[in-house]
Amino acid sequence: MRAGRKRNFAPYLMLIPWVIGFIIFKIYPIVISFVYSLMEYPILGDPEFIGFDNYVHIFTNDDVFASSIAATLKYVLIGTPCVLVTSFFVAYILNFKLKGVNLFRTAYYIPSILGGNVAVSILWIQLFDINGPVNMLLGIFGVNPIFWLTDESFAVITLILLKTWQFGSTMLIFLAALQNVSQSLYEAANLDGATKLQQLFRITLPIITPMLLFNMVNVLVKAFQEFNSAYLITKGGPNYTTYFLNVYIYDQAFMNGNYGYASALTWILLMIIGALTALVFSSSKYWVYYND
Amino acid sequence: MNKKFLSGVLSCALASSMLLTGCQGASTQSKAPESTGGASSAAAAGQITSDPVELRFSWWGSDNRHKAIQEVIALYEKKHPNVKIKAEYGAWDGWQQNILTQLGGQTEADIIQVNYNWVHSFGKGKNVFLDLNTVSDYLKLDNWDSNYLKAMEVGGEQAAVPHGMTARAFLYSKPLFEQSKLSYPTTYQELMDAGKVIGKNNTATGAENKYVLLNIGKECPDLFIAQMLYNKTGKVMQVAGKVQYTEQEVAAALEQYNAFAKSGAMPTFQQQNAMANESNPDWTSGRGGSIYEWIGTMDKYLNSYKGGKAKEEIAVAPYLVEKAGETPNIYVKPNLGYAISKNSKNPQVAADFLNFFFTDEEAVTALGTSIGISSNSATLAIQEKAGLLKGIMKDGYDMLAKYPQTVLDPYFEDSNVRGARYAALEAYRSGKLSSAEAAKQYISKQQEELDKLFK
Repeated sequence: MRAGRKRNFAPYLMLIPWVIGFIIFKIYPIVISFVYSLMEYPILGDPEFIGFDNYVHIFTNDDVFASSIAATLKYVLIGTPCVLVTSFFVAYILNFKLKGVNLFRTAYYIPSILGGNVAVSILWIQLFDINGPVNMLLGIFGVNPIFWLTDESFAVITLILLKTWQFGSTMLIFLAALQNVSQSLYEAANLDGATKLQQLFRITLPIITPMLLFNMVNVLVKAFQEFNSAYLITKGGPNYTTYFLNVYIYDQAFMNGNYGYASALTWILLMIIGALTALVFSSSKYWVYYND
Repeated sequence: MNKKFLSGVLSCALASSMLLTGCQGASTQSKAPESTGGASSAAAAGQITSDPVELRFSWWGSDNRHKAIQEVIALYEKKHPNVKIKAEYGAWDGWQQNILTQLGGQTEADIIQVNYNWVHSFGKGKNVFLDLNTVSDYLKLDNWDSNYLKAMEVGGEQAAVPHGMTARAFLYSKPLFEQSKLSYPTTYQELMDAGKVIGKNNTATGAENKYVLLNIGKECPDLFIAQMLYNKTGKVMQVAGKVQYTEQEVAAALEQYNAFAKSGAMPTFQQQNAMANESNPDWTSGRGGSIYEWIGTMDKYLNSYKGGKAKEEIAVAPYLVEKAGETPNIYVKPNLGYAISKNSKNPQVAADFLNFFFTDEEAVTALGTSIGISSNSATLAIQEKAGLLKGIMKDGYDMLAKYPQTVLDPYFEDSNVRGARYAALEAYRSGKLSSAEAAKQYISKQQEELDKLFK
């Protein structure tokens, strides 16, 4: 009896490496970054405790932060629905039994693998040049050339298009969800005379809402963390219209060496992401249907 | 029993490896010099220590520089078999961030290629590198003009040594001007007039637009306007942390700059290609009549122009002036510096390597002009003897030599100070701000950043 009640420590021992890693690489940086945010901390100087001065300065005396937050919110609030709608639409089409569908699924996933690297950035610069293929294509339909990268109204759109183009991962998750929708539901709907559109909105979408929630949170968080495209393609310009918060944080920390200020900006970004994610989760009880 | 034996063996192995590491660490560290008044000539590394020494040397640049410096490292290692130098190199993009982060974490290389503004801005007026005066027994500082050394002196300490001095110069494509029966402009008015001829068929979005001057990226317009302000007012941008210009002076320069773009002399803000380097298609295709570049990097632009197949079409033009007959004072700055880390365990060997880098005939010949033309008298003599002083870079330096020169303020290129100017220029050029508003921002925001540095 006593032997049966003896505690088995083996699982805990096996967990120790992960726990140590989690504490060192996750918990410690999070805590220390908050401590840094309360300091004037030049990268090559001595830190000095200044309380909430960094936060006060950010909200009251930092024009660049205001521009940066506006650019980030624009990117997130337009970009997230664009990615979700496009990836769902393509997944919906690729869910049909088409000839060579696997080839299409692979082809549409490739941009996601490429990510926001330098080669893709150069490709984007060339494509959206004033005399590039995109404007040439639009010219066929009588559209005047657009300064995609230097016009304040279009620069962020160009980066949203890049984000949308890389919809592969989101599409795969939607595709997996669509393939799990029982065919019997569609058969029953057909017998009842429901149109394809009615089936989409009354059967498909409600059933995959858990996956939609997952994708939404994922895309939203990643959009807030966008860095590569703005840094490599537009350099944050023109006039800070693509100067996303992550680029600003990077510049403050590693270009200017202001660790304290960068940490405060990071915490503000964390709060914004946390608040919006919480909003999405709390709203989910009204529109997400779990099969339980 | 077996477990006990195994743990005993492991403990002994660990203890002995720690001891050995400790011994090795001690043996590879060369002692700090006790006095700087010893031998006047640089000592060989073999005389400093015969123990194995490992150094790291970091630099940025293009492929020809990477290849050349690695050759120099190999030459040094051959002469000093006990020294191994690990090369850490890459392109310019992101390099400043890389070095700053390494300095913050005290993981920087022993020998570091540095930019002029870094030695002043990184420590906000305090030297963050080794004072090279402490290793002057090994690195001969007499080979530099005292003014050039002074440019890299921070808080009375010699933070780095410059390789040479550099300036922006105009590199132009002859055919574009010959076709229009024009010579390269010498005054700002001529620049405007040339724009009306060369850019007469330009449209807002024309793929075949031609320009007299391509001010590529953000740095070119900034330096062009800074030189223009200097030419017009005779005042430098900043002195002891104070911006010297009035809003009227800046507004007038900005308006003239925009007038160049409107005349067709330069691309407008919107027409400017996003490719802000030597691959800019307006330059590589020959539709851009000239560029305003650092003399040390002109070779890159020469090689990219028409795929490097029309080098004879390129020449260096005189500097622009406000009125014909004037001789402007040209902004110059140290062209790359070399510093030694304060955390280096072997600063004397690092200094000896730098001395070799600048004074060894084979090393200087191997380097060629991949770093530019040197202002170190020993290096320059070897460069001359080896017949390296030729081509477009020499033409650039020859042109510069005709003008009086002013060393840029160390904080002119501070990323925040410069960023303030960039933001104002961009806001004006894109039409977001009027010239008066932009001029106000140009001065006030720059001053705010300078105040932070000088507080």
